[in-house]
Amino acid sequence: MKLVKIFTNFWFGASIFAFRDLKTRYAGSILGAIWIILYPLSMAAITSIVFALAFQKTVENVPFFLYTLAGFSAWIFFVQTINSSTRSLVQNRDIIVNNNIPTEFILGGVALSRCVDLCITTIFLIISATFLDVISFSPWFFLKSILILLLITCTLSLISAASNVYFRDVQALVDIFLNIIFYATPIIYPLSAIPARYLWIFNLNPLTPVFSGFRASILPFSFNFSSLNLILVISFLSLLIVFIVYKRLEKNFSQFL
Amino acid sequence: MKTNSKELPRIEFIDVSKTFFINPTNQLRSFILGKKNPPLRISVSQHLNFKINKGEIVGLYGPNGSGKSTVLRLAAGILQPDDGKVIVRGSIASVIELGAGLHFDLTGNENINLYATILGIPQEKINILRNKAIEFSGIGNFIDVPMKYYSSGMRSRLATSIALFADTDILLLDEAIAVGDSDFRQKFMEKIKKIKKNKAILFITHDVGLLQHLSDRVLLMDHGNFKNTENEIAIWRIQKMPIGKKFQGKVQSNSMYPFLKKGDNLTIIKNRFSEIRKDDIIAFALPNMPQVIVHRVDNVYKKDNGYCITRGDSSIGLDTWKVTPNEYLGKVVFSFSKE
Repeated sequence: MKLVKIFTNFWFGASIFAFRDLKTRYAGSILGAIWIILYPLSMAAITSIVFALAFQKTVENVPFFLYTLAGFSAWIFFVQTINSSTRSLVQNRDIIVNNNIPTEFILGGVALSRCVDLCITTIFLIISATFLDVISFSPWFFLKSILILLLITCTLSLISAASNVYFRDVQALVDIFLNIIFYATPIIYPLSAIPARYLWIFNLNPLTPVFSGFRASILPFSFNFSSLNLILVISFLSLLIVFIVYKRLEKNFSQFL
Repeated sequence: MKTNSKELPRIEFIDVSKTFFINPTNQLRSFILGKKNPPLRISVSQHLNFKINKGEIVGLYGPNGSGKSTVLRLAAGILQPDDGKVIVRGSIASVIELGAGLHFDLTGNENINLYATILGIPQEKINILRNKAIEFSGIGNFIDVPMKYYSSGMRSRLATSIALFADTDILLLDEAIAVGDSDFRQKFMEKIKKIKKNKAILFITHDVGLLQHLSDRVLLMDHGNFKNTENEIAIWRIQKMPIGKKFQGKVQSNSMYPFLKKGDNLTIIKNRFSEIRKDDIIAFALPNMPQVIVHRVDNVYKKDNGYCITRGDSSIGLDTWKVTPNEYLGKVVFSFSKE
C-alpha cells in the first residue's frame, strides 16, 4: 500500500515535469512536435543513403532504411534521455536548492517526456513497416525489449546526473562515451557485416541484444527473445542499487549545485 | 500520534551547526591530485537552538549573510546539519526563493501544477487549492495565458498564493512577504493571521514593520548565531538608565539612509516620551524583538497613554510603526560617520 502511494506520487510528479519538458521543448519552433519524427527520419535517411552504398540495400529482406530507422528510434530515446538527464539537475538548480523536492521527479520527467517521443516514433515505424509490407509486430516482445531499454537508460541517467552535480566534466565525458557506444551497437550497420572473429566484442555490449530485440519485435528479423531474460533481471537489479545510492547522494546535491 | 504532534513543537533545532566549503571544486581537485590545500570553510550557523510551536509565527531578522536562509533550508530539509539535530513534525511548504521553478512558457494554471508539485503538495490537494489561489492572487483571466505575459507582480502574487493555500503544518517563507502592491500585502497579512492557528510559520524579512505586525517572536541572527539574549540584556540596561543619561550605538542597517548610514556611530539621550516632537529621530525597542530601532517620528498622538507613528527615511509604504511610552528609549542627539 505504501509502495503504491510512493509510486503514484512519483508518477504524478514526473508527469508534471514531463509536461513542462514537452510543452516547452519546441516552444517557438515552426514545425513543433513534428521534429520528434523528423529527427530520426532524417538520421535514418542520411545513413541509409551513405551506408547503402557500402553495405547491402536490404537486411534479411527488410529495407536498410527501416533497419536504421528502428535503430535510431531506440537510440535517440537512449541518448537524449541520458544527455538531458545529465544536465537536468544543474539546469534545475533553482528548484533543487530552494525546495525539498525529490529530484527523481525531475529525472523521471525527462525520461517520461522522451518516452512520449519514443511512442510517436515507434508508431511511425510500425505504420511505415505496414506500408512497406514488412511488419511483424509482437507486442509482448516489444514491451520486453522496451522495458530493458528503459531500465538501462534510467540506470545510466541516474549515474551521470548525480555525478555531474559533483564534477561538471561528466557532461562532456558522457558525450564521448555515448559516441563510442553508438558505434559499438548495431544501429547503422547489421551485425552480419561484422567479421565473425570480432563478434564476441559486440555480444559483450548489453545494448546489442536490446536493440536487436527491439528491431525484431517490429520487423521480421530472427531473434531469440529468451536471451533477454538475464539482461532484464540484471538491469532491474542495477537500477534498484543505483537508485538507492542516488537517494543517499541526493542529500548533498543542494550544497554542491 | 496526533496528540503527540499537538504537544510537541513543530520545528525543533537542537544544537545545530552547519559549515560550508567555499571551494568544493578545489577540494575535489586537490583530492585527486593529492594536494593538501586546506579547504576554505565558513561556519554559517553554530549551535542553534530554538523551537516553534503550532500557532506561532516567528520572524528571522538579521543582516545579509547572517545565516537566515541557511536556517530555513535546514528546517526545510534541503540542507543537512553537520552537527546537532533538526526535528520537523508535520508537512512543510517552503518558499525560499519565491517563484523558483515557475516556467514562462506555461500558463498560470499549468504553473500552479508545477509550482505546487515543487512545493511538495500532493496531487489531491492541488485541485483544492487551485481556485482559492487563483481568486486570492487576483490573476483573473490571465490564468490561461502563458506566464511570460505576466507582470513580475502577478507572478509573485500567484506563487505566494499557492504557498499560502498549501495545506501544510509548517510554512517557511523567505522574503515572500515583500511582494505585490500594498493592497495585496494587506490581504496577505490578514490571511497569514487567519491561518496561523493551525500552522507553525517561520519567515524572513528585512521589513521591520512586518516583524512588528506579524510575528509573535523574533529571532535575531548575526554571524550564524542568535543574538537574542545578549541584546535583551543590553536593552534592559538601557531601559533602567535614568533620564538625561547618554548611551552610544552603531547603525546596523540602512533603513534611515541617507541621514544615517550603516556603520555610523550614534549618541542617544534618555528623555521623556512627552518630549517627542514630529521629525525627531528616536530610539525604541519592541517587546517581541530584541533590537534597538532608530526611526523618524511621523506624528505624535495623545490618545490612550500617548503613542507616536514612526518610519524609516529610506523605506516607503508599510514600514511604519506605532511606538508606545513603554517601548521608547531615547532621542538621537548626535551621529558621526566612521570615515
